[in-house]
Amino acid sequence: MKSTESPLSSAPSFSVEQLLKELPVPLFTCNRQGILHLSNTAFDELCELKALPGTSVFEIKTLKFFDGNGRRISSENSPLLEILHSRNPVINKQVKAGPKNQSFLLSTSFSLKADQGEQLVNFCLIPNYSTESEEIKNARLSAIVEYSNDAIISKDLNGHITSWNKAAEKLFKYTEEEVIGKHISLLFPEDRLKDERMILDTIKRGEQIKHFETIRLDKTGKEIPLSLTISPIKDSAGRIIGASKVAREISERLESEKKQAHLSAIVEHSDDAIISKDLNGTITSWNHGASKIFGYSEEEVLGKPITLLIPAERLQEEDLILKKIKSGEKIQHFETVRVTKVGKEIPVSLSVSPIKNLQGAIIGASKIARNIEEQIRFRKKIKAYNVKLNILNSVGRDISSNLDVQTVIQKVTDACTKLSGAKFGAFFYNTENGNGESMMLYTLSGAPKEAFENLGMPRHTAVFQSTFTGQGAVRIDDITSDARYGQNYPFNGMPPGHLKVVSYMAIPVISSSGKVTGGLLFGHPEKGVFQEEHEMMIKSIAAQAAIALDNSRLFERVKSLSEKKDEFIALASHELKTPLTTVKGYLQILEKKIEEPSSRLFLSKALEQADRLHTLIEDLLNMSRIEAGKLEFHYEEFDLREMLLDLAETFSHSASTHQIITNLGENPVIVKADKQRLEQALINLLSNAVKYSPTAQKVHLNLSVNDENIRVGVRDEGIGLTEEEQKQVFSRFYRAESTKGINGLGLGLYLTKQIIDAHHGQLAVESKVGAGSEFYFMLPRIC
Amino acid sequence: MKKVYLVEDDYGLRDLMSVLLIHKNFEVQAFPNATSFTKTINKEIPDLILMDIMLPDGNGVDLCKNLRDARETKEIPILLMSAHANPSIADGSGADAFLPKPFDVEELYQCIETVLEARL
Repeated sequence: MKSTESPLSSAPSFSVEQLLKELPVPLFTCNRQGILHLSNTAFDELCELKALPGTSVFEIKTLKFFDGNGRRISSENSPLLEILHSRNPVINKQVKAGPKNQSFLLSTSFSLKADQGEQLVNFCLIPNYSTESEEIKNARLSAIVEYSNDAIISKDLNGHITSWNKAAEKLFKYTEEEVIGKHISLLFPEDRLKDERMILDTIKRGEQIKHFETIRLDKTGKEIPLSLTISPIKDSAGRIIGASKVAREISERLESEKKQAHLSAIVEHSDDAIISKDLNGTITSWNHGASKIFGYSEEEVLGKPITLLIPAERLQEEDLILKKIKSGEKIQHFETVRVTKVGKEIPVSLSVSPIKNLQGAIIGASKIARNIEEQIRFRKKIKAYNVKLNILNSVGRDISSNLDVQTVIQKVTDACTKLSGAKFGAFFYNTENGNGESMMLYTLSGAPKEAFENLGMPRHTAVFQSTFTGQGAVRIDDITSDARYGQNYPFNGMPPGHLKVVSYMAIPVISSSGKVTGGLLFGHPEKGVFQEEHEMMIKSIAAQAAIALDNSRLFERVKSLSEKKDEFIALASHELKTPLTTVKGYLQILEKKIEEPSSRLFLSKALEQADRLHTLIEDLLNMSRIEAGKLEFHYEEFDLREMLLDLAETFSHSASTHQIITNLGENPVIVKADKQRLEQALINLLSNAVKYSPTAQKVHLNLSVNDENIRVGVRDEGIGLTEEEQKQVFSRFYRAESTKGINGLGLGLYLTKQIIDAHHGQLAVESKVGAGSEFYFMLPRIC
Repeated sequence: MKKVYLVEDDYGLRDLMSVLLIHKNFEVQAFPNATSFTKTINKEIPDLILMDIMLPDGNGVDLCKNLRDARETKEIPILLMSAHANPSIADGSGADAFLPKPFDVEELYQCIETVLEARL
């Protein structure tokens, strides 16, 4: 078979064979083995050679087929093979073939070769014609390019810009006119210029560059991070003539990636466990911190239920947490307990927040769990320190404010036992009984009195000696293995029934005189309980206790002396009364007998002084009665106004130097009081007013009543009192500086105050130096 | 003439009161202690007794109670005295009056008069 070059339309008569030869559609016929029987000119063109009958189509290397991605299909996979081996007579198959990778519709038909009966397969490669015109296609492409959100730029192989779309204008701020024909390096930062060489080299090789992340500059010189995809542009002959660049700004993406990376790093390296779970409670993420705290690796727990970490008795917490999360609530610093892989329970502080998807729906929860073991230990420690501090403070306060020996030693024992952590403590204390005989008291803490009742006092054994001779503190982790222990008959150790002691501590209590007054002994049935800090603490309390005990001993002595003194005053004043009665009696007899005026004057002066002596004795006696708590009161109802009127009158007679000015109101004022004592109180106030205003002429006696109180005031125009004097004026034996030279025992106001106090009233003074004083008392009104 | 027994351990006051009572026309017999008084009263009953409460060998309140318990002495007017200012010291003694020391002459006379009048 030979081919001819004549055009299809040139000859009026032609064979079918001739016609086929002239068809512009490549076609060929071969047998089932692919041995070429017939082919036409168009086929030769496609294969770029002269195909001769009898050759195998598989040997025509220029007959190339390509897959959808433009890759060449090897001859073993040739689409022809499939067809040649097929029984189907007609197959239409879309193929790409030829040097230009053109699309064809491969159409086949089977025919019989009449003479030999061999079946032939006819192949026809019909070119795919687009249904659109090139023009429309181009217009569409231009539009796509023009309005793309990506900057699309093309350049020639010299790097000169040949096209520039709207997005490129926007991204780089250059207009199309400004850049067309300019070199692409316009957009390059200095340090990226080498990129262009690499790009061009790649393009020239016909390869594409995809998603190349780099930086370009806009017109203002601002750096823009970009993702570039660069493809070669070929002319219709397939030659590379330039490159198209698609540039997408990635600053936002970079930012968010950067952020993401930061966040991931934070999450990953956090010491807190950061866990996320879905709404079913299934763990979806697990950081390094979580592994450290809970002991599970990420692989072990992902997809497992979060309840893995929750102790059985706290499982209901998860329901509550999920419920809150589902309602969009956060849980903050929730302190609870979780369990680790090895089953250890650890205290944690949880903060749980809902996780939302882009639509805002809650899809899970993030959990931050912090191990607060250390925190809790610290908290406990602080609490324990506070407790100790409180005990120390209160014991300090208690023992310094208390003067009763038994109370002081009990408080000290209790506090020291608590502070030292001892199981029990004892305070053995040397004291003197009323007869000056030495004896030993003891108090216990942490053990009942019976525990020691049948045991003797600590003896001068090796164990106790250093304590009771004041040699210093003894602190032993295990007394039973100490050399000093168990050396003494009869028990060689603790007597039977003694509380078990292993840890032992003893601190001597030494008074300011250097004498050992006692010892604080502590015991615990376990080893090594007492530490140096305990010893220090107990030592400081022991020092305080020694002072308190010294004080209380002094106080006891002073108290007993004071009692003796009060007894003596009572006795003495009582003894003074009887001869005074006799003196007064004789004077009164004489008063009746003597008529001579000057003698009568002397007698009346003698009687006056006897009365004064009587008052003084009475004051002393009353004072001693008050001190002994023996002053008795006899209450009766009477009109206070009337009493004051009588008093004022009597006083005006006796005190010739002063005038008593009364302001007592119009109405009777009924009180329930001890009339005699109240009179005594008022006489004291009036006498003082006269006594301490020697140059004045007036003393005011006032009575007023309001809803609650009855107020009685005695005001003088005398020397007055300083503020300091006002504070002390009601104390026993107190006499103001300014009263030197004026007689008195300093008992009057003291007694007056005691009397008013006994009536549930208040005695007070208002005074100004040089202007006088008002002493007044308020009695509660009885209705 | 009415007979009065005076029991008072303080000699000064005993003398003074004797003088005062004689002055008021009483026949006075004075005793320095409880023992001598008890001895005498068992022999002869007076018209009035003035007695100090604090005696070296006894207590005026107890003595008074005993006198009230005995049929012969039940009706004798008794006046107790004491330097103890509180009259409650004489409570339950059965005495007719209590006179706190020190007292004025007039107070003594007034008190005796009141006691005797009440007994008439």
